[in-house]
Formats: sequence, structure tokens, C-alpha cells
Amino acid sequence: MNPIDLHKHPKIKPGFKVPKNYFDELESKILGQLETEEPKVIQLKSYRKYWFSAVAAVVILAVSIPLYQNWKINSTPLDNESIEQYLSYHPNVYTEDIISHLDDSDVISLQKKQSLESETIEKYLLENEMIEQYLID
Amino acid sequence: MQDEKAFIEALLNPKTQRSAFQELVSQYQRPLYAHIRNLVLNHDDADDVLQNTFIKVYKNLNGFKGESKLFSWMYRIATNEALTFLQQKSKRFQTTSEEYLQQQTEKMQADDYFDGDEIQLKLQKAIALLPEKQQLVFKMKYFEELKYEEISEILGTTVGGLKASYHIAVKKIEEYLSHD
Repeated sequence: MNPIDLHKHPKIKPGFKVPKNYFDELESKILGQLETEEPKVIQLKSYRKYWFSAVAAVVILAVSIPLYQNWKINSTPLDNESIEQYLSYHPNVYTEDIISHLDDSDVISLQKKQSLESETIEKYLLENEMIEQYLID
Repeated sequence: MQDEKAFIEALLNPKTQRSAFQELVSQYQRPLYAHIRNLVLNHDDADDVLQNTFIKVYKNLNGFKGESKLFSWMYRIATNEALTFLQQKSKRFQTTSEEYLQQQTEKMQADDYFDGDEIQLKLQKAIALLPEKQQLVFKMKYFEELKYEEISEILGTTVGGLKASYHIAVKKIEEYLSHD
């Protein structure tokens, strides 16, 4: 075979064929693909609405839970036993403090409940010398 | 495109982007198809790669800085897409992209969309024996008749390097065509 010089030889084309109407349909095919690939635009506004609702719900919960707890504690009536227990475990609460909160009706009520026998009183007075000073005062 | 700057502005403007892109597809579909077909050889593969190329061009329009020509930018995307496609195909068949293309040239005679004669088929087989870069340069210079400067801008290689690759490729092909 004779040597071939590609630049002197008539141009050799690639030899490829294209299906009929290929380029007529290609444009619409590509543009169609863009439409299906383009993400749907969701308005930020609706997201904002959900965000506001969520934040409002969290704030309401954050405020109402401590309020409810506080209300629950305050609304529970204290029984005498609980008060006695509290006082016995808190030595910094002095008898004077308690007395200062008593009114006449409380004193009468205590007198009725605490009917001490005279023997017990005498024994107490003998053991507590300081009481004399109190009586004088 | 007469006024490329104005056309690029139309492509970047959201209001005119769609119609400008339509014009872009219309203008470039044939040369880009020819470029991709030369690289991947098979029509169906070329069709897939070409569509992906245009989709990629559209998605990356905002990233086009205008530092290179629109033509070069699109050719670069098309070349990268075609080479990636060949790498994926060859990986699937556990071979190299050169070997995959050699196999493709063996199937060419049975291809409905190849109507080349004996010398055309022989030329395709000769090209398929070249290393990937020499194939690329030869196809862009010989078939597509692009200037070295244009190829340099597309591939990011020096003109000197391209000339050397083309010269070696031509010598190998001439030898193959003369002796086999």
C-alpha cells in the first residue's frame, strides 16, 4: 500500500449519521428536561407562618409550665403534721418568731387544746430557772 | 453570535434566560453533537452526553464568569462530560477507555448510524489505538478543524503541547493507514 499523507489526501470525514429529525426534536427534549428538573418554588411566607406558630407554642409552654407548678404548690393546703415536721427540722425558726404570729384567738385555742396539769407545770418551772426572769418581765 | 457580551447578559438575566438558552441550544446543538459523537462514537451515547451537557450548561450559567469565550466554556463542559462517560463505561466493562473505544470501532460496521467507507472505518480504528489525549487533539484538529488556540482554551493545554500531540498522532495514523 502507498504511504498516506493525511494533509495531502482528500479529507476523510468521520462517517457518522444522525437519525432523521434528531435535531428538530432535541431542543424540545432538552427544554422539557429543564422543566422536570427545576425544583418547585415553595413560598417562604408559609414557612414563616409555621415558624411563628412553633415559636409561639414553645413560649406559651415555657411560661405556663412554671406558672402551673407554682400554682399547684400554693394551692395545696398544708396540714398540721407537715407544719410540725417542718418546724422540727428547721432549728433556726425560733419560738419567738412563731409567737409573734399568734393572735388572741390562736392563744385561746391553744389554751383549750393544751390543758396542762399543775404538776407538770411545777416540774417545768423547777427545771427551767430562766422562766422566773420571764415571769418577772 | 454577533454580540456575545449582550447574549451572555441575556443568558444571565432571569427574565431573558429561558429564551436565550433556547437560542443557545439551537446554535450549538450541531457542533457540540459532532464533537461529542467524535469522542464517544455511538449515537445513543452521544445523545445522552449532549443532553447532559446542555443541562449542565444551563445549571451553571450563573457560574460563567466570561473569562473565556462561551464557545470554549461549552466545549470544555462537553469534553469533560464525554470523557467522564467513557471512564464510567470502561470501568463497567473493566477495561481502559482506549480499549473500550477500540471495541466500539469493531462494532461500527453494524451500526445503523455509521455509513463510512473502508478508509473512514480504517481511520477510526487507527485513532482508537492512540492514547486518549492524542485521540482528543487529533479529532478536534482534523475532524472539527478547530484552531490550536481554541483547543488550548478548551483543554487548558499549551499550543506547543497540542502541536506535538497532533504531530505524533498524525504520524501514527499515517503509518497505520499505509501498512495495515
